[in-house]
Amino acid sequence: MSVIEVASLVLALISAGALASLAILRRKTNASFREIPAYSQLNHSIGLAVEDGTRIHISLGSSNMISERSATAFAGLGMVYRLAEHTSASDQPPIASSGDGMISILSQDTLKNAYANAGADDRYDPTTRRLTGLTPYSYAAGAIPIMLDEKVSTNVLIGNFGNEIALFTDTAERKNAHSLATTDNLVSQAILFASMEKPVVGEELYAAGAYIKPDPSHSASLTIQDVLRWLIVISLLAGAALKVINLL
Amino acid sequence: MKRFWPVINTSIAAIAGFLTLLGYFIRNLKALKDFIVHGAVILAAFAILVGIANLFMVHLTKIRTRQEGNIYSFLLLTAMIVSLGFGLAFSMDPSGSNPDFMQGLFKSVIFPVETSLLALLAVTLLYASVRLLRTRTDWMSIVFLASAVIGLFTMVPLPFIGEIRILNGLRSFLMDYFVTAGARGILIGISLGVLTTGLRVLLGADRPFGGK
Amino acid sequence: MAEIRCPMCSKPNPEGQDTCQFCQARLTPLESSSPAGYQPGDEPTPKSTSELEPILPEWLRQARQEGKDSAEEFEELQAEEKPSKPKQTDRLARLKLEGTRKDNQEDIPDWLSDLRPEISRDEQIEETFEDAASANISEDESQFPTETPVIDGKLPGWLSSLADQGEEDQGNTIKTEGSLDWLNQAEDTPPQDSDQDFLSAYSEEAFTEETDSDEIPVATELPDWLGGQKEELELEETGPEGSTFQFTEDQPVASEGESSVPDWIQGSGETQDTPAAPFSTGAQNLEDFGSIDELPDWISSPETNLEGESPVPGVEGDSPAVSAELPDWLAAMKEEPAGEMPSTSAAPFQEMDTDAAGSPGEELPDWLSFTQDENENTPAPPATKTLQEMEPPPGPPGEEIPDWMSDLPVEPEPESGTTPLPGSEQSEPVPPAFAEAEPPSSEGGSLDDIFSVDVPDWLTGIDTDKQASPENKQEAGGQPAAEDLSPVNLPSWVQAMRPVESAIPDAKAEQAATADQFLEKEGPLAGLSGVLPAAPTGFSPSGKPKVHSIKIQADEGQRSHAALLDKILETETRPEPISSDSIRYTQRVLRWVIAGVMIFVLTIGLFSNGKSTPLPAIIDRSKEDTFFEIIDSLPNQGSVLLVTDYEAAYAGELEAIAEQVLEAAMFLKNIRITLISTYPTGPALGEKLIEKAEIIDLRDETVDLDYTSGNQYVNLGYIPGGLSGIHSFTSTTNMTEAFPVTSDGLTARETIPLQAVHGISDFTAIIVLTSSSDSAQLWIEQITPVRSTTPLLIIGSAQSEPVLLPYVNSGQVSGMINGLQGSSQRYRSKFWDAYCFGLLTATLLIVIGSIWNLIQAVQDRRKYIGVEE
Repeated sequence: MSVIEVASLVLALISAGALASLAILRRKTNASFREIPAYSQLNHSIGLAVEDGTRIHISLGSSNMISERSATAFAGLGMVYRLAEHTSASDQPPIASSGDGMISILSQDTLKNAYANAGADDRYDPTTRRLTGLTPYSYAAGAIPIMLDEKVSTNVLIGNFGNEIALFTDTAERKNAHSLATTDNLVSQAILFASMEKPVVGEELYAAGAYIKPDPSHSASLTIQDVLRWLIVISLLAGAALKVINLL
Repeated sequence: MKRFWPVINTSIAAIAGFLTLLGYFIRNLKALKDFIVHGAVILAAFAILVGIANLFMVHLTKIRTRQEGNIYSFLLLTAMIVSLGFGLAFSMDPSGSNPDFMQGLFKSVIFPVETSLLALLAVTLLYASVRLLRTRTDWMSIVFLASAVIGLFTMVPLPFIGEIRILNGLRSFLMDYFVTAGARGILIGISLGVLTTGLRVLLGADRPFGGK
Repeated sequence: MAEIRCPMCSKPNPEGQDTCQFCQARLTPLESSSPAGYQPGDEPTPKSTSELEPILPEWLRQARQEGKDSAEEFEELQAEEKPSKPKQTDRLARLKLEGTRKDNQEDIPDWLSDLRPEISRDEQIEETFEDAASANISEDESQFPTETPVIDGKLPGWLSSLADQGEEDQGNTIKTEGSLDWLNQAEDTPPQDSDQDFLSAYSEEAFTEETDSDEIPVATELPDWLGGQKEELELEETGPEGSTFQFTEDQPVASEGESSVPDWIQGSGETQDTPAAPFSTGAQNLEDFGSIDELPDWISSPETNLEGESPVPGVEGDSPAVSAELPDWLAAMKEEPAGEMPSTSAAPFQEMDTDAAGSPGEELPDWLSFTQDENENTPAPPATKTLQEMEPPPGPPGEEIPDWMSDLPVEPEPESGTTPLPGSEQSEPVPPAFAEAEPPSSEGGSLDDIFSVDVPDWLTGIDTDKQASPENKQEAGGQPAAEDLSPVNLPSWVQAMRPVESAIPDAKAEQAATADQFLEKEGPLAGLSGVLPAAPTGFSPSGKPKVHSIKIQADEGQRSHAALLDKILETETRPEPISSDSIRYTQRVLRWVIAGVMIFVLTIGLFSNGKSTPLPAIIDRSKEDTFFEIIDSLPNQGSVLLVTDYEAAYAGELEAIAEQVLEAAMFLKNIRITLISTYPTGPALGEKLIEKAEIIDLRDETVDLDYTSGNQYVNLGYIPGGLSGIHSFTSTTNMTEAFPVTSDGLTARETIPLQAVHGISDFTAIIVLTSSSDSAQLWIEQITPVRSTTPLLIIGSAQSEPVLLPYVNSGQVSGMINGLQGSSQRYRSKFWDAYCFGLLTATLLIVIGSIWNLIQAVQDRRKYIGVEE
């Protein structure tokens, strides 16, 4: 193994150990995060949706489990679980749409477990998870009718999106529905910054589940992220400094 | 037995994940890693079929219950069946497949539809940019719009005027330093999130595969 | 020497003793802490009817005076009378309802107490008779005799004389059936422990005894005037003074099955020939008496009966004919004005006296006479009032004062000598149910005073003035029950029935008052502690539940504040109309405008044929420059791996870019192209690209290079798995084994482009055509370790330039062109003018729209701030 490979492996193992330790230590402490207005508004919108008897549409994007964007898919599935749990008592169950077969199957299983844990097994509807398209724009073309025709009052777009995310946000604005959109794609983030009142940029995507329903492991992962980020910042500055003084 | 399924699922996921991870670093585990990955690829392919079947059932239910927009569901199912039928029919031809039909179908349906959507996206993005300051009036929005204007304006030479070198230099400066640095930082943060999210899945903290 | 009769054993005890020397019972009632004063073991408070003398009507006072005068005569008569029948005389004397001679005298009518054999009735009667005889009834005296003249089984002389004359004077007599044998019989009856034994005195034995015809026949039962008789009762009494009362000898005998309790006590409705009262209404016959269970009419409604009727026939005056029910003397009372005893009321007595003795007051019966001795121990009664003047005492709702009591003078409550009932001090003076021996209250009236006989306590204790009217009770409303229910004025015999506390009464009283135990203050159990209360505190057994108002009592200030708050909340909760439709319409128009402008501009650019806008200048050693250099350095018929990782949506842009590059390379170098993609639509897009690129538009002609699959290009199809697939592809060393069949069914090894290619490094160049930086990154990261010297070129969308530029700068990417402006540095595209026009138009729209919306936003904010202020 090369040095880079060894360093990467060591980094991964240390992060895993720290994550497990922090998750155990933080079982009895309440997590405190900085406020992200988009997530605060989402909680409010969820409540309104349940009260109004309208749906929540969760779009997981086109990421798949075997690509490098699978983590985004996991974050989206976690969001599906939490939102389904919160809205299990609603008249209109949430709909989870995706552009990948594996994500679609996992979203179905996630919805089923959420209803089971909420004690609402009888309210689970298998048709609430949908594979609307295999390409991003076909997926957008198939998901937009859900937003238009199925009494959706809140849209949660979390996953790997391309430029087609602008179509989602534009449709939500036409329907005067609340939207929360976050993606790991840079171009899409720029589009979201222009089209959303409260954009979610960068790694805030992976903190979505913690803001909806925090748990010790999620809180620990965010802490590890912050630690590693500071390490990277320090290493970048150190490298730049060394480069300046010609040590590198 | 029902209580142990979550434990079994989590164990399988954790073991497979750690083997795959180690397989990238330990050469002896490379074959195992390849095997696991190839198996996942095959599952993903079949997952596409499952997704297509789910899509078929959803729209069929929509037609049967006569929900709003069921005519479009009928068109969808018709197109799906025709495409699948022609594709299977022509691919089973021992003389060789006739890709012209499928190619023609692609060029006449899929290509224009998606291209139109992208063209629609252009208008949408323009509209969003125009209303940005109405939606959110702050300094960051002004900076965002200013950078967008500069990037657009300096991308191409002016008609009947030509290139302006100062603008080219400004664009290069902005692109090489500010844009690239910002993008790099965002990507680093995203990668860290990917790392911790993956570790949570490997450690069993997140179990999207079922059971809590 | 005055003696105190023990209430328990009835034995005389010297005055001043607290306890009986025989049975150790208390002789002196205890002073209780409660205002009622009754305690267990207390001596019954003696009653003295002489205390009520101030409220006596004038005619009665005269009668008393006459009675006193006749007392002397009675003594003479008594001496003349047979000693065998002294009891009858005594009994008659005992008919007077008096109170106790002294304070400690037992509260038993003498005529009742004489029924006990233990009591020396002779002595008692003699004493009381002496007192009665000496009683001086005068108009000034307002006291009722406190003592009842005890007649030791003998009729008073005046009564006996009445009996003698009963046969002579029948017209003006009030016939009363029966004789006075009942009195004799009562005397012979054995003594009883209970005070109620006086009722048993009227037993069969008592009534079966024959009475002396010479004696005034006494009814076996209580006289009619004490009760109601239905049957005709003839009572002829020939008093010594020519009494109009006659007592017949035909004394009806009570049947064995009948109760010996007098009718006026029983209240029974039996109509039988019961002996009438010695003094009944002035009627020849007594048929008009009401039911036995009712008071006689002359008692119950003297006004109606006496109205216009003369109480006694022959009464001087203008009295009309006496009704059959009322005695003459009582009938005369009706003619008196209200508040004042009619002067003629004394007519009966006067008449009696006139008939009997010819002198007023001479023949006054003992029961009407009040001795002065009896009044010695009684305080001077205050000014009397008639019952009509006094407030009716609080009593049960709906209870009305009998008319015959309404004219009675009411004597105020005595200041001393009486033991108030427990609990009576806490409430307003109310007439006790059972009259005390002493005058119960200052405003109560008593029958004792009227008739001078031993009226039971419950009759003496009725204080009609204090009976509360229903209106008064409703006004009181919510007052505790003690205020509505008067403390019971227990008779002496009831008082004597009370259980005696074993502890020291004083200490007990203190304990009961201070301890947690409830101390009963009224009723038969007064003075006892630890008993259940008769009624919960505060309980007002009124007929209707108390009505509570549900309205909030608020003053003007509070109402104004409430109105102000209501007004404030109204403004807060007032719904505001939503004006979203106009906004949506504006948005839709703006979209159409933008789309229209862009379409117009682009159309113009397309028709300009791409020559209006100069091409961008290429910069040396830029990434574009390197890219073109590499393309130019490709060998002839070299193999190029073309990765088509882009979406169909971006085909327009990327085909516009890649078409010129491929045309040049294909046309000039005749390169062999291997297509592959990690996108499902990639192979189809690659095919489309080749079809488009093979047709080259030269200046004068169009050249079709006719690239065919298997010869000039091969399409390996779709690689699944994303990163893993790329990794697998790039790490393979035998391409044809990894891809044995092409997308169009050709055998890979038989195709010309793959004949010399085994691995990724065998390609002369790798061109990645991608719209997404992610895909380019994957290929860059996977190809770089294995490409060795094979250049890696990227044709990407304009959006991917910022992300991929570091790869170019780091050398991982040999060359890169992004967007149409990249390819236009070398090759002019027919879309260049439209592209440039579109970009500039978009820029202009953004600038103008942003400025406009900024102004609008600032104005809206100012307006919002103004509204808030």
